[in-house]
Amino acid sequence: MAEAIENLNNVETKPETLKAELEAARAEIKALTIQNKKTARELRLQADLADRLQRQAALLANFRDSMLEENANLQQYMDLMLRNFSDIIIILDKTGNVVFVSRSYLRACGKQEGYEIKGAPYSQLLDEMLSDSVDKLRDYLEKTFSNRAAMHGTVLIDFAGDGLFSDYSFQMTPMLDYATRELSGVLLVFHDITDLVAARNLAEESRNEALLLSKAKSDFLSQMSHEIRTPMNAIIGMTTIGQSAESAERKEYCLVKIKQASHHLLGIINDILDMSKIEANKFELAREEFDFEDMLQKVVDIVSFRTLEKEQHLFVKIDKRIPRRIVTDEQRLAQVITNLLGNAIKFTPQNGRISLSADLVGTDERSGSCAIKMSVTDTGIGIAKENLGKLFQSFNQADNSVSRKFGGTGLGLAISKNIIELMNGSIWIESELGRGSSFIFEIYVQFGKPVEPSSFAGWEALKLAAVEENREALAAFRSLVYDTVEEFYTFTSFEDALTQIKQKKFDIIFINHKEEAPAFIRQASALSPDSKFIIMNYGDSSELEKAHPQEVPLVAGFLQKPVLPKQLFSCINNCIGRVEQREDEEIGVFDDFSACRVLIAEDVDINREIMSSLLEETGIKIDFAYDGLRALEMFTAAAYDMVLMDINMPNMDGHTATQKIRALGSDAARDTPIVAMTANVFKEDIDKCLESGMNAHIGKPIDIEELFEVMRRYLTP
Amino acid sequence: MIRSITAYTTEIDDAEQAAADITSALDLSKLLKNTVGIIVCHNDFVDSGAAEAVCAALPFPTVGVAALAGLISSSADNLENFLLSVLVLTSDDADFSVGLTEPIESAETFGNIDKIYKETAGKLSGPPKLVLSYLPLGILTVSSDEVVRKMDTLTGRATPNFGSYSSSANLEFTNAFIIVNGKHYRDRYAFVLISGEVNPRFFCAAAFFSKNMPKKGLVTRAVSNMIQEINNKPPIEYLKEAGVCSNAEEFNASAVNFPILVDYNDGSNPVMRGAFHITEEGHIFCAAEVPQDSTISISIADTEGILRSFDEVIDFANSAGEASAVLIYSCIGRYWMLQTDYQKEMSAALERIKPSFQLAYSGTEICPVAFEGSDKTANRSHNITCVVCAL
Repeated sequence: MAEAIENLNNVETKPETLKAELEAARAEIKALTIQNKKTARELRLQADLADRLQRQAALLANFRDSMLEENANLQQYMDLMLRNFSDIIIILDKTGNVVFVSRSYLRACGKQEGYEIKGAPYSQLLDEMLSDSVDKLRDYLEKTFSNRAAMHGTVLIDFAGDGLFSDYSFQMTPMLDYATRELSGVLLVFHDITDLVAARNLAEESRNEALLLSKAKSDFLSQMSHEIRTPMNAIIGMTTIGQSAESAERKEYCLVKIKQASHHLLGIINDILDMSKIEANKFELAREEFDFEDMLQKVVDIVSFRTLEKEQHLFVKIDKRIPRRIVTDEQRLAQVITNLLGNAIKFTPQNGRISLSADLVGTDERSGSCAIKMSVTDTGIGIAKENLGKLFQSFNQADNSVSRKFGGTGLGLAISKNIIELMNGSIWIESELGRGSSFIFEIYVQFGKPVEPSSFAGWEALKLAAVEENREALAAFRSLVYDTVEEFYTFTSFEDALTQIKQKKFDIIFINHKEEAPAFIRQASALSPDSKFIIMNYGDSSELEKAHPQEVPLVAGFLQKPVLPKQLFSCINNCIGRVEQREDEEIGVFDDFSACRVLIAEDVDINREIMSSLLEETGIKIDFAYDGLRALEMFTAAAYDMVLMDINMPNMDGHTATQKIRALGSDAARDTPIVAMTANVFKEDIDKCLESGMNAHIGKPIDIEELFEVMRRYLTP
Repeated sequence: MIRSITAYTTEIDDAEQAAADITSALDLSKLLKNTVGIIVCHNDFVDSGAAEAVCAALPFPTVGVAALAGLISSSADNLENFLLSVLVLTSDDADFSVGLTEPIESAETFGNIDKIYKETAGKLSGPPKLVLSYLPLGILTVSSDEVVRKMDTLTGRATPNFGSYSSSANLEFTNAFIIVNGKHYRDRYAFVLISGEVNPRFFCAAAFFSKNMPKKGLVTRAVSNMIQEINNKPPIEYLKEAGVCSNAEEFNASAVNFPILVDYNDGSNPVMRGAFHITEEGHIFCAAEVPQDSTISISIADTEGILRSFDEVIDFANSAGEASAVLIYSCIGRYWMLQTDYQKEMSAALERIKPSFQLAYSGTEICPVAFEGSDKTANRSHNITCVVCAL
């Protein structure tokens, strides 16, 4: 270039040369220009880059500062949360090493704050845990890491290794980067659910109990349906048969069966009603004074026909020290004993042995009470040990096969237990499978009014003998009389007795009835014509009289077994010509009410018909009212000796009618006995009747004896 | 089957030389029945007229973008900051038709694209099987998502759509343009419809970053790619609270450094969006749509995320095997986020990609995405993503 410029200024330079040099210069200029542009571009590029980087750096610095501040704030609250959170928190990094453990974890492990676990692999944590689920936790963690799957479950862990395990629910959560979705770590949380598990278990137990109870109730209902239907079937069936029977004997047979089935059905219904009262806490005891032995006699009378059917031997032993009269609920005590005897009879085979004993176990003179222990022992099928506890639960028998074979509602023992416990007593069982059972209870009762002890005047010279092959029966007999007579001999065979009779004269000879008894009586009476013979037998004496008419004149009397003291004493007194006055006998009792007039308020036709039939033989005059309103009108218009008042009637019920009668103000209105006659038989129903002004209560279905007893009470002059 | 040839020039100022560089590198006698050229170049090539001269020298239509930096051609030996590259696609059994809309002034008119498309498609022997799309970033009236949806409607079958929005020489993207047959446009949509024997395969490698700003924002008002309110407040307030910037100017100076992570709150994976600038109305103009009721947070770009995703691109490109050509459009945001390592993607591509390829940095990428467990694809616009099409 410089040379070209120089040549331009030199006139000697040839034009061709100048042109070439000019072209070259132009080319060089162009090249330099291009190079300059390139350089400028590069510089511009670098300047842009530098500027951009500078701005970026400044912004990033700002950004990072504010992030640090934000993070610091967040970190503070994160720290607070992690330190105070009650759940155990463990954070693992993506390789499974510990990044963080919460304070609650350290506490659970019994470690101090500052304990170094950071960086340890999770396997170390698991190894330190005492739990049967460690392998499960390990497996779940591996899945969480490998599959990025959230896992959860429950485990029993002892973190501290002190033998105290707690239930935990756990969660393993894979922590994924928000943007890249890559696994950054795993969060473990353990939440103590010990209380929850306990509550759940309790709820489960309650539920199971409820289910069992529900099932038992369902089973019970099913069984009750069967139990009720069975006698109903007999009633309906026998009614149908009786309607079509032509002979009176056949009809009589059917009526007997209907009566039996009806009583059985009533028993079932009463059991169900009793149980419902117990379940509703409305079961209450009455307090009344009664003769203890009389109560036992009634019970024995009820059950003895069943022992007769099965040819079983029933023995009763009563402790002489038990007060004659006691105060408690006679009906309920009798119900218990009847139930226990009934069970014994049911579960004891043919020719088996059942004994009922009553013993005085203690007295408290200050409170005027005593403890009586009673037991019913049998030689029956016995009870397996594992079933003993179930028997007193309602709706349970020992097992379903028992109920299927022997029938029964399964309520009797539960009801009995409730009654005994209300009497401040206890009841228990001693039994061995296949060898029999003893049902034993103790109750506390008040003394009744003292009674003059039985007089044995005239007995001191008596010589008595008993012929009974059952030694236990002989022993029971002996215990009743041995210290009241001069002599008392016992024989287990007729031969032995005859041998002794030849040598000794007995005043009274008690004979257990057997087939050989009539022959023995003839021989013995020949040997000892002055002796009186008393036949002891289970069952009614009338059958014996029919079977052995020749011996009847030789027999002084019959004693129905089991022989209770009063019955025996009365028999002996009769034999020696003493007449005893029973304190509870009423003199001049009669059932002739032909001079009386009764108003019966009853809205149901069939019930009116029943009442009319039942009272027909008494000769009483009856006026019927079909509702309470009519009863009030009729009472106002005429004079009545008694009113028998149903309760549930249309137009005016029995309570209202009674109140209105009493409100009439006249002497008759005030004094005429009004007796409720109703199927409402609960205590509150009875109380309500009395409160409304009635004098007494008879439950339906009507018991004829009870009705007559009430009528005697109010109509006998 | 489509064959490809690449050629490049670094000659900006001498337009004739630039044209000569390209024509001499291409053996034009080997061109097949149908040919189209994909051109990418620095803005300076357009400003100097070199791009026009190159296109004029070529006997086939040319379509492409002016792209800032990062122009790589497989035929280049070194990295070049200023480069014009032409990827020539030629075939006997695939045909190509180039369309160019009128200026796009609104979504309603859309540059008369319906008519243009019909005319363009009418020149093909069959229905298009691939669409290559090129738009300038300066089109603000329709978003990239609307463009994608529009083309789906026009093709009727959601024909695979692959392309690039041109980036520009400055950070406000006002100087972005497309090139069609040597002419450049700031407001039009150019597309190439390809029918016949073409079997394109696609790959998207999005860069996700390991650090995200803890403060999240709920997009309480947005229209398409404009975020109008965050947490019921102007977006700048959220950005201040997040510590990104103290005013709009600061943000605009370096917006691309703070990609926005968008969670659609529908259980799908979050996506990345580039933010370009805050408009006069105070709205954040994003490179793709950000739906209302989505949750956003600001990510901190790091080299690792970008390079990790580019490794996946290289693996895909190399797996193309028999592919005639590989087109790679990488988001300009990635280039800037690499900061002093801004050449790492390019150098990795040059060193490791084996098939013939053309790489350009893009303002927004268009590429189909696959559905898991199905052959079905859907066309999408992307940000902070490197998209690849292997032909």
